[in-house]
Amino acid sequence: MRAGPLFQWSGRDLGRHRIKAALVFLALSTLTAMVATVLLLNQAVALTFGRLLDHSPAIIVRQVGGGGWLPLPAEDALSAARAVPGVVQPRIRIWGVVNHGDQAVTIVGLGQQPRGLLPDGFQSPGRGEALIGPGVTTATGEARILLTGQQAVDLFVRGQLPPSAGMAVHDLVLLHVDDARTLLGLRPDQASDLAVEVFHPEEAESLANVLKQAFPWPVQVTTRSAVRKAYAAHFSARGGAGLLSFMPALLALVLLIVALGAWGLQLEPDMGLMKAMGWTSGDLLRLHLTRAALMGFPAFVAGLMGAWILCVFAPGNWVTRFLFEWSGPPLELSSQGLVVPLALTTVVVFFPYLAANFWSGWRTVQADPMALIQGRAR
Amino acid sequence: MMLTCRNLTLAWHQTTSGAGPLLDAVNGSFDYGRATLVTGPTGSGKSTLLHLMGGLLQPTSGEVVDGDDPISRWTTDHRDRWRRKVGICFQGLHLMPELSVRDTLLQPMIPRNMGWQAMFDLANGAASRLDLAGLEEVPVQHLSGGQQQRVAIARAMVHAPEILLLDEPTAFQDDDHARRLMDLFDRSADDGVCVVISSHDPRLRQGGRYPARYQLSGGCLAVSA
Repeated sequence: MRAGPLFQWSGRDLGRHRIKAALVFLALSTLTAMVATVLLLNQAVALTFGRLLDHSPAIIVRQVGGGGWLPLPAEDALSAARAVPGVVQPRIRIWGVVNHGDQAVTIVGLGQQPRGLLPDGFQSPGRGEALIGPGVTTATGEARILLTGQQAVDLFVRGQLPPSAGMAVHDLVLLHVDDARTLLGLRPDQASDLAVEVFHPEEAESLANVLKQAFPWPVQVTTRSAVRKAYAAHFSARGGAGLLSFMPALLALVLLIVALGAWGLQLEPDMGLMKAMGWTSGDLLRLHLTRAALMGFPAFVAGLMGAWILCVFAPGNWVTRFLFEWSGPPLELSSQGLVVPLALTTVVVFFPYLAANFWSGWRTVQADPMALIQGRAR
Repeated sequence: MMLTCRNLTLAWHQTTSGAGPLLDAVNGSFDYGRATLVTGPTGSGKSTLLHLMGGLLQPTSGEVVDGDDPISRWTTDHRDRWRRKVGICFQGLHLMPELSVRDTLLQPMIPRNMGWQAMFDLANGAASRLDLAGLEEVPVQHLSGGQQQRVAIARAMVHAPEILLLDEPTAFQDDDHARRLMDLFDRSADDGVCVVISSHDPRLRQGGRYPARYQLSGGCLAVSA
């Protein structure tokens, strides 16, 4: 059978049953959108979080006590870290989370030589000054920002970092180290934590154990790879829970199957008649699958586009907040990262759809024409 | 060459009251190049016999043989391919009401590996021969009963079948159209087609037009004068 007439006849058939075709289209595209949204967001969150982590230190050391974190004695901590072979660039950090109105922002105190956080053209803020990230809002027309921690500090906003400065600066406020200490309630000889790099990244885990023994007080040592693993597990769990929250998708799948089944029953007399007209079982199966593909492929693509729009353009990232409790910067999707979600969605939704059509079509075309025409095939 | 029924039995209408099979060891031969008339009372199994001869049903026992080919014993796939040489017009017509006349006539030709233009030419020719010219774009459901029956006959004949099975083909036709249809069936037989007409229309029995006749009654097929 030639492809042209087969496609045209399939299109005419869909036109004859346009309401049922539209229902199946709607159910399939909705199901595709739901599954693809969860998978795409999972990938995007992992990618975005991974890129955030790339800017973080290899190992972070914090002093802990019975009540949780404690300020770190800066000089003693630096000396202890320098004594461990393999540790490079130990540095103290002054940072924490404070309130800005209803918003929680991360403050980072910068000294004379800020590391990596300032894009080209930006000077380190002086006392009473702040640079704010693109996600930090100020009242319209205001050039000041009031932050509240252990004490309240009113700062002049000297500039806003551009989104291109990187995802890590999204909800950040950069300020002078003395202002940061004031906000966090730290003495001049204290720091929030100690960050170190390692000479061989693959040694980070073993160095973490050595570092733990190197300090004369109890510390918590966290490696970048451990954080990466912990959050990967967290986001996977959230993604799974999100998928479960898409129970309506399962309902849509059931509706789809019911619609396909009912449609198949209605088409049986037509298929029996066509068999009597000289269509072979193979011809009819090809027609059935072509019809399914003509309807299913656009529905699948529409569902994927819907998922893409939900992931990238949903106002306020509400889908990501709902599914992953993500309050970070806008998510990024890489073209490489799209491959796995697309492949999984194809395997989970489109292949079963085609398989269901193949199965129903194959069962139908095996029957005698008169059995189909008279509805005795099942 | 002939289409032959050998001890053809179909029992799916058998009832618990003990009634016999619908067709009981039917034997009959239907020559290519000849039109054969099968008559019989309503419910005697004429339509079922045509369905068995067209490979649309499988008999309970016995066989349908085309030349030397026992087609009723073949698998579904083989019978599918053989059925391409058959054209059948059902008593109940079985048209798809929303299809136009032309689309209805294209339907049997789609799987026959033909180009659109060739299919259009054949469809238009068949419509013209069956007095349906000018109605090609009209949905079948808008036609009269007689016109719908001629569409069903045109659909059976459009691909020039070697076996033409016609079930009550003149039931809805006036005398003029009935006569023209009979002429058309005769021409097909003259062209070498095995034409089998099932009917109890008295117009077909008159005038000795069909010397080859069978009478189907009580599940048995007998040569009729």
